Amino acid sequence: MKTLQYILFLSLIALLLASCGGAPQKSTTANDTNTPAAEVDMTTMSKTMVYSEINFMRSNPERYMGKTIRVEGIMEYNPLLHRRYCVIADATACCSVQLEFVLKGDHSHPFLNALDSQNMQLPGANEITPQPDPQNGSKIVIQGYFQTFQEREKQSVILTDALYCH
Amino acid sequence: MSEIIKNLLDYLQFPFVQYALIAGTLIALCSSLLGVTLVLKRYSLIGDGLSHVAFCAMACALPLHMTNDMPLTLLLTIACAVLLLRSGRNTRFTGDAAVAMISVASLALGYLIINLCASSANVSADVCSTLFGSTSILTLTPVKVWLCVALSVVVVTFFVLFYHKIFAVVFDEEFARATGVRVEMYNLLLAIVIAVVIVLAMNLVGSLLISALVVFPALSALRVYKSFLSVTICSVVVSVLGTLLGIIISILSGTPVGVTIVAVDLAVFILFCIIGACKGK
Amino acid sequence: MPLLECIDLAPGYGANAVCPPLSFSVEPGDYLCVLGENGSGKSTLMRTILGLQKPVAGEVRLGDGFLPNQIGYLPQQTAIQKDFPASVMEVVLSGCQGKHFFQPFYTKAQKEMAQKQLQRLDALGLSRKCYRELSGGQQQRVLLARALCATEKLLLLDEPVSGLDPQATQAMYDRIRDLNRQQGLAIIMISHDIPSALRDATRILRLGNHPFLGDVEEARKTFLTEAPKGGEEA
Repeated sequence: MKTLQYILFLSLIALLLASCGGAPQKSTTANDTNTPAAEVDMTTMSKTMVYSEINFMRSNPERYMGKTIRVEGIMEYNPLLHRRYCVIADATACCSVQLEFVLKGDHSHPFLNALDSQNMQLPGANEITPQPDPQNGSKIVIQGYFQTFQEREKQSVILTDALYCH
Repeated sequence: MSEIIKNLLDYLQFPFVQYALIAGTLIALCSSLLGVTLVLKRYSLIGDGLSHVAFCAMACALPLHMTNDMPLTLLLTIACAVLLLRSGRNTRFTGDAAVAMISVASLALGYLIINLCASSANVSADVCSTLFGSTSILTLTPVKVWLCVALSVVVVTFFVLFYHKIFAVVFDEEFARATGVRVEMYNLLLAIVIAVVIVLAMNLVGSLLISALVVFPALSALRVYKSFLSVTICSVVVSVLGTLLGIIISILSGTPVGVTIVAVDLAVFILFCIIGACKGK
Repeated sequence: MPLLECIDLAPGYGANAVCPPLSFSVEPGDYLCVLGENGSGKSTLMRTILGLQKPVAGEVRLGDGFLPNQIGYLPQQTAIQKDFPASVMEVVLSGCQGKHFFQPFYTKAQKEMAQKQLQRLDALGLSRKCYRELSGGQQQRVLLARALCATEKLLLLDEPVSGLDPQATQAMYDRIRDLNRQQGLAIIMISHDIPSALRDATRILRLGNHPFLGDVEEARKTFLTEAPKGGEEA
């Protein structure tokens, strides 16, 4: 009887695994009226998944190129380099990963010109002033377009045209 | 409930979740097979000890600026495994005292070396993630998954082919040696296999929780089953299912993977204790 | 044609011999009882004969065509074994492991032989039971069956009745005597029990302060004359 139960449970797991897919597709309704729905919305996922997915993004950027990403993390602004990061910690809170972002309307990023030639600037973006930054260390939700750029022979990932969501 | 199932099915589409489930199953399979022999030989904490040695070896790789620390880690861990598990009555340096000493010493040494040669700014995070595993299993590359597959094939083959010899050596080493079984060779092979599995299993639950993965399924099985074969099979099933369940629960609820797996294993152990007690009545 | 010969054999550890050099041989059908106080070197001698440790001096020579893996051995049980999750069949079949280097599965012949050995010792009814749930006497019978799977000629027993109640002890002695007299197995047995040794054995070897090696009749006479001194310590 026990053996039968084990076999049944194993089959269930196997069935679930059989639904293998390609690139992840996730879309939800927008949480607020300010921003449209994100293609990859990580605010509905568990902390474990978010951390893993960010890592996956960094090692497999081609799957996410140009997609809108929405993620929740901790604000970190580096005043020396004028660069903004969204810091996401894993479930044990001992490891964290930084996701850099550039606010919509901000043209001060040192590598902005080196960004993907797929022009992601929306019409009228040059007239927009960037949103004010929340306090360092506070919780933020940002949404932006996923891109990569070369920084000193290393490929880095960044969210462009990012907006703070409320 | 349907919300949870929907979330789960969505998550299962991510490649890194699939890798985690595959690698988790395979590592659980290997460590539970070895767990039975280790628990019965009264070496339950050797998983913990050897994983600390592996941690120390990884730390040693830092000042030597090695890009791939795996060969050094494997070498040092295998050497310690052979030292701790070698047979013989006249060896003074065996048993739980030896395991304890090597375990604590390598943990301290490893941390010291990392502190002295910290090339990355975030030393405590490196240490923490090596000890607790953090989310390493959800950040595996396809290469590492294939490595798991290769290792599992080797371990399972070894176990199936030498199952009866392993039983003879674990049950009664003296008798086995007296009747012509090459006990030294099998102990050596076992030590090497155990070391390799532990180094690779550190990806799953981290150093601190290795013992749980090796020990809990075997102990659960021992509560209920009565023959060596049934204990081994039950241990494997419990370990694999517990790992899968632990990974699934952790991605759904956002808890750390390693500790969730151990919590599931503990719950299963308690369940088996109850079953065993009821059967006994 | 002796099964085994010890030539000036001095068992011990490192350079320290535990007893003076011994020379004796064991013929088919012999029943040699090894007596002596604790610490006199009985177990060391047995382990040296089995090749489990090297002697300080001398050698053990096996008879023609007699291989080391044809000797059966019943060692003292360890605590680990008493609590081991194994079925009786698994334990008995493990006696066949020394025969082949690579044998992933037991053959039908080996399984039948295991059953036969259990039957010989009236233990066939135990074959499906869990080893750790047996009584001391039953466990010893199972281990004896295991030893018999390894040999048809020579059996070495290290205190086979230690820890058994009087009834089980007597049953064990009867079985060993039966194996020796009816089935022709040569026996070397370590024991503390002098009366039983004098009753069943053909030859006695006593180690310790008053060493002795000879036929059982000589032994009876020698031991009898020693009795007024207070006899042997158990």
